[in-house]
Amino acid sequence: MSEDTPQQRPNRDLAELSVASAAAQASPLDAVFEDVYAELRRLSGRHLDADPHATLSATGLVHEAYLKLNREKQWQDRAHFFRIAAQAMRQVLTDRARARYAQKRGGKQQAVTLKADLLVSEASEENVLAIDAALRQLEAYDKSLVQVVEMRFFSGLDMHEIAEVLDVSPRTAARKWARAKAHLAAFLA
Amino acid sequence: MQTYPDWYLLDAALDRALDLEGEARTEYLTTLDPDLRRAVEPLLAEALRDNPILDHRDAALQTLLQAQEPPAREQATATEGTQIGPYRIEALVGEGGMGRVYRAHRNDGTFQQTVALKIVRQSLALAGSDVAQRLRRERDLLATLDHDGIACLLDGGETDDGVPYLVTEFIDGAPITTWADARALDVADRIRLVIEVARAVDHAHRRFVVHRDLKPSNVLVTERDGVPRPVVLDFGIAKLLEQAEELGTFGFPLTRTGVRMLTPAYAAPELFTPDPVTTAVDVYGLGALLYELLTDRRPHEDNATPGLGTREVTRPSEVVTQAVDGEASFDPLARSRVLRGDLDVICLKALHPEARRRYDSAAELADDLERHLEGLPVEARPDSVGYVLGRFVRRHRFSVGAGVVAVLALIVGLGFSLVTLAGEREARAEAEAAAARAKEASEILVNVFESANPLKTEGRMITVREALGDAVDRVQRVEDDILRGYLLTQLGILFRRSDERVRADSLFAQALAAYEASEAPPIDEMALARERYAGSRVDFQDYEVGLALFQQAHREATSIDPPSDPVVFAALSSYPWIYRSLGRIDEAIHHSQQLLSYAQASGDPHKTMSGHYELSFSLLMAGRYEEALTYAEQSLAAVKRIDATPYRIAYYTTFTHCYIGTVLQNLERFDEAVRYHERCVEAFQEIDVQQTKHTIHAKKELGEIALLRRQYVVAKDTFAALHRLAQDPSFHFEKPAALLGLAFALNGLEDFTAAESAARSALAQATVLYGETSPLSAWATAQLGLALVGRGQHEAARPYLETARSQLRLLTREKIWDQVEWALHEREVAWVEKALDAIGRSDS
Repeated sequence: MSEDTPQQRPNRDLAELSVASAAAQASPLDAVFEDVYAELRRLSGRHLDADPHATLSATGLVHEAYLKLNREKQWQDRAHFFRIAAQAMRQVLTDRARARYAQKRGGKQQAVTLKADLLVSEASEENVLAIDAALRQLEAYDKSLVQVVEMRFFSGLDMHEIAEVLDVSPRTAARKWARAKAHLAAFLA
Repeated sequence: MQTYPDWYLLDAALDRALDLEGEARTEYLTTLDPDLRRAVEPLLAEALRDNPILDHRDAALQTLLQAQEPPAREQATATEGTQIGPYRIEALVGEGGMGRVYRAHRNDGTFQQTVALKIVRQSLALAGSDVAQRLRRERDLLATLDHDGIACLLDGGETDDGVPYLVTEFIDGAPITTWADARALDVADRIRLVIEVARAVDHAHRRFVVHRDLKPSNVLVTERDGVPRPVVLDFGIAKLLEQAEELGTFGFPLTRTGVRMLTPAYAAPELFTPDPVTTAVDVYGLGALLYELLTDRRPHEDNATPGLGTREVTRPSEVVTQAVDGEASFDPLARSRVLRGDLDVICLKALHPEARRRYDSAAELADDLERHLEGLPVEARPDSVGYVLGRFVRRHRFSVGAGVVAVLALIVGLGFSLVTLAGEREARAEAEAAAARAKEASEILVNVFESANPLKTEGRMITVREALGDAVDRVQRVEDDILRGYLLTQLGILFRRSDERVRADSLFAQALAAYEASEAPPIDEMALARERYAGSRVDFQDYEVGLALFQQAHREATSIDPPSDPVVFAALSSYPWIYRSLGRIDEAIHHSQQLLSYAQASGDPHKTMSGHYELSFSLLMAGRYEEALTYAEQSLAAVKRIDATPYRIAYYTTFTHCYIGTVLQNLERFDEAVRYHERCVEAFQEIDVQQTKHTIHAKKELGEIALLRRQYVVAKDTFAALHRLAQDPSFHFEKPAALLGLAFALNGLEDFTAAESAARSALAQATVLYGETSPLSAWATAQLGLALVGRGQHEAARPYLETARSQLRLLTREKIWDQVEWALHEREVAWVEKALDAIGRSDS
């Protein structure tokens, strides 16, 4: 029951969509991911290149990418965007870790494990690669847990934001995070 | 390692355990199968403990979020004739403030190339890692320059000894003045060379790189296929050196910042002041090059003391007539005649002692020189004339950070040319060129925030949003009405797309005002701005104003040839909606029919889909449900004809299905309607775009149908889910409706305490968002009264119920067009009456 009758908004959008149909073609999901990924990589690369001392804010990057891509693709669903972006952020960081790791090891592939006991800065690449591998295992069981890790660990979103993206209560989101941690630890043990 | 065979069972137990606390958790664990329990307990411990990596993302990702750490410093020496990286030094070709320049050759088997290799002075190299880092940073910036007229940066690194070096294209050429004299070029050819140099410099400016030290020895001319090609060397090097020196950790033989490294004869006066360096110094440098090429003299004598450059230079036509030592390479009087007039003022404008009175950009200087060559009137005017344009330029000046000065100069510069175009010439071709350039300006503007420059923010990351705000400020100060209107419209569209409706609204209003302030606004652009503003007003439910604006935009769009189809279609497709919102259903139907005719004539199935849909919806509101269903189905048929990606087709199809659900519920075919809505929720999740918006819509319909069918538990869950979705700031406006539905359902379930709280929130938010007399507020008031009666607080309930009764009477069938909503409304009215009777009786 509302004054703002439900059909009025979609109506307007439909008109806009028809007008802008040629200009703003939405892409299938794969292409969407590719776009977001490329954009995040470009942004992170640019910030780092411009200032080697800068510490990237993953959240900032995601946000920036959102604005950029929104301009091109008219994202109207933020939640959807952030889910994709978190996934892309994981990819960006994992790729970076892989490159650094390869550099250190002279390109040799090795099994990696979590190394919390080492200085974090030294173990950073290994850790991220290990987490990525474990996430791939977890993905086979429960994708939503993987998403939580992508949003929380790789992108730095807070529990409220994550809850919104997943359309669950913050409490449920926190529980998903705890479950994800437990399973990842088990996979990595 | 996995210890329990069924992961899902394990995970479910973990989830349940996490949901419980203390005793309850312990108790739950004891009920588990022993194997399962053994597997769950360690997991539970992991889940609850602070994970040293996963819970400390900042530390864990630290090195990945940073660039490479700077390599350790070593002893620094450099000699010629050795191998440096992949380069073999061939000969020393120059020495300057920066260090030595060698010709070197790369031959690493895969490819061969002759390059210029610059090795930083040892003192610089010793200055510490800060210098090395800045070098690296600058190098990366320089690497973005890609222009035929700029010696591009190829590589850079450090020698084995840790001395930084830069590798650029090797230009085998002569300084521009030497080259021109050797070929006895005429004035026009000399000007052409400067134009090319100015274009190259402009390219760099757009990428935030200022040269600072333009002079003949830095601009070499080579020939390729008989065509002369001037190439600018050492872009940004001067700045690098200055930065290095500012760090002050080493004994560089300079007394004051940068001063001695500059060449006074070519250096802009402000370089001797602490003022920030802007692109204007390069405009000055270009002016100096031009001056020397035309007159064979430098604007100031070599021995000029730094800081003396504040006086005006002698006019070129005059200076050439003055006696010189040795032989002039041209006839002084003839040359003087050529230079008199345009070239005098162009040179003086470029070399103006006050930076703000020079050309706004290198491009503008180039443009003016081109105009001169084509025999067109030039922009530059002597100060004494007090030309309108001069005033215009001066008024445009505002202080800006050096980082975006190039872009700004460009925007302002465009404003400049637009004014002259509109004011002096009205040829259509020119107007079109102006529009094209305005579009370019907006693209550049977009680049402003795209490349919001981290170099200028002390490592702080400037967000695009900050930069956008910044862009708004600057655009608002653009003097030219038409250009400002255009840029404000573009910014408005950007903000609207990122759902910042309030800001977008204000920008559209300003854009429109800007166009209206101009004497001869371009009608197509103005109609677009008006149409956008109209849409924005309608967003804010300001229907009367929106309607008037759409009508005017529509008139404007059809007054031009050819009419602007996007604007016409936007207006036509908005009328039905506006008239419906205004409760003028007959007009809505009439305009829907017009839209449909327009759409069918266009043959575009997108438009046909909209036309059928609007007509259907208007008929629905008129209570002509069967007809509404027919047109809804035709809309669906049009979707099938749309030529778009399968993804987009799926989106339109689902959308139309949703709408058909709404029509069906009005035909009281509830089971079908519920099926449609439920399918829509699923489909939108699958399509995964605009999911929240459509899920909200479908859930609202489902919740209302559940209320109508007295399935209060279903309704409660549905509205609770809706409320969660509405937490998204973009959908806050749905909160009152969600809370109201929740209150309705809770009253139905006789959970009056919860109902009261939901109704209070609904009322408060509806009042804020929609006003005290809105239907939502009336309904929320009623639910609040009913909840209070349920709790036995009759006196507290009475004023709410009475207010509700009088407000509910005002809601007519025309306002509540939806059958389901109307039925709920009637039920609520009945409840209110009953409650008032009840408390009336109990009190009497």
